[in-house]
Amino acid sequence: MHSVTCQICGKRPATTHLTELDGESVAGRQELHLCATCIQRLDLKLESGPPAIATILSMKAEDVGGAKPLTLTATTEDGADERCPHCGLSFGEFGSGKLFGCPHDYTAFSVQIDLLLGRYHGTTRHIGRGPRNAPAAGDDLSSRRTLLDNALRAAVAGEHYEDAARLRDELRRLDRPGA
Amino acid sequence: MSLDDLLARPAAWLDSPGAHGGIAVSSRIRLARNLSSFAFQRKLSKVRQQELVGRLMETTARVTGWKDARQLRLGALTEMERTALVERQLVSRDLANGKHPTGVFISRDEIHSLMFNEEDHVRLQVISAGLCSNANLELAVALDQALEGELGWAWHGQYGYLTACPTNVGTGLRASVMLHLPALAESGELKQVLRGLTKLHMTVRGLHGEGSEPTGHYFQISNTRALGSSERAIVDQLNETVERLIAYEQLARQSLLTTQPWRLEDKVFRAWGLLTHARSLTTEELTEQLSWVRLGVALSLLEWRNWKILDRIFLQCQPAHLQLQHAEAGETEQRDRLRADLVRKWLSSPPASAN
Repeated sequence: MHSVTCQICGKRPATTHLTELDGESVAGRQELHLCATCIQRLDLKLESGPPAIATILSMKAEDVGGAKPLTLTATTEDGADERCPHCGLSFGEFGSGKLFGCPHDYTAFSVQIDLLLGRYHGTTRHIGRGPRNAPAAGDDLSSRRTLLDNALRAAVAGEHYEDAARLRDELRRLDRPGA
Repeated sequence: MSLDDLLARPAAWLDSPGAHGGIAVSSRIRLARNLSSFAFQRKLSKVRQQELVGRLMETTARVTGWKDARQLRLGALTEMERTALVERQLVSRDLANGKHPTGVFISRDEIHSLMFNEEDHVRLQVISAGLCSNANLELAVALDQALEGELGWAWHGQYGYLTACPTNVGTGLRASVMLHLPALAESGELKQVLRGLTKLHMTVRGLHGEGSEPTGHYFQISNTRALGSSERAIVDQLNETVERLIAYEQLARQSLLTTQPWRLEDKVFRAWGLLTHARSLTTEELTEQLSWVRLGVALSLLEWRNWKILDRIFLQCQPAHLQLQHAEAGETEQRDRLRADLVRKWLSSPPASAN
């Protein structure tokens, strides 16, 4: 594992690594990497149980000698100027617009992204559908009837009767002349 | 291509009373998707954006095979036509106002619509009237799967579907339900109820989604977290929340009816009087007063009950719909007069006829 810089100052190598788990699942995992200087400046009493990562991030930068609220800095050895090799976006540029430049940014800035996602979603791990088992194009959609039929069956199976009634109406509408 | 035939029709999401006596107006599922082979918009050249939109339009038409679907490049439309699409909830304000190459694909019934090159490459929407998030999710997933085989979505083993903004990453899902909550608003309890939604990771918006203020007692409830729960779990949680809000609204209606019926009746009959007599109506005034008439119809306070007409007024009296369908509605003043004329005419129609 390569060495990681402190996410508070973005300069010194991190010596302390906090990990938070939300229940048993890996989905709720959050990490924060800190250096000894920042721990001292923020007066974090880590030995008597560290504060929540969100609490540390909400501390004012006055505490570390600045005027702005703490923001996350790039954490690899290249520091904040690190750029995505594919689109050239730096993490600083992302911060100004809150939009990424390309899908590869998620890999290039994975440490900062883990923190961001933890704050937005309370987790960093996707649960749900993925692109596997995608049917061949045109399989089901050539006919709108097939599509509605499938949805109707799923609604009935899931006992979503109100949905089922709507879909049935929709199918009936298809049968009307001129539909 | 003219939008005339589209504008004259009812909208897919407006088929009152919807569900629960007019409280649940419509349900919407939106999936955000991006192609792994293209950068996101801010790092994509205009030429590549054109290429992207062209590819998405061609692929969607081929994969769906829906001959009667409509494909539009927003750049080829007038500002008014783009606004009309926003009024019909088929495109976002951002897409309508954007200066970059964009497109939209709309199924004939307007239940499916796909925005191309919005914040994400594809925003797939399924919208329909009443409470039907589950069915809408099924429809959205079916189309998503078919497109995925052709387009190759940007995907990450840990983060899920990748999006331009990290707030949408994971499922890329935003599920929302539009509710009509006049009694809760009138009772003063609404603010507190809506504040509680934040804890459930839900948010409230106005009629036209992001950036729109609630008007006419319409509130769009949607999930804020797209990562860490399955699509089904997100929809289940929304349904649960919405059902609770519906129960609160029903309670508030009953409570007003039993304790202060005159207060509710006064609102409803004033609104009826105003709409059936006004000679000039702004959009805001109409939306506000129509809300009370809607409540009056839902609670059978008014003898006149014709949901179809309420929907027609709601949709057709919006500024762009009026201007595109009436040559004389160019200036604001003329438009407000025409709006009042149409409302008077439509409200004088038989109470329960279909049209």
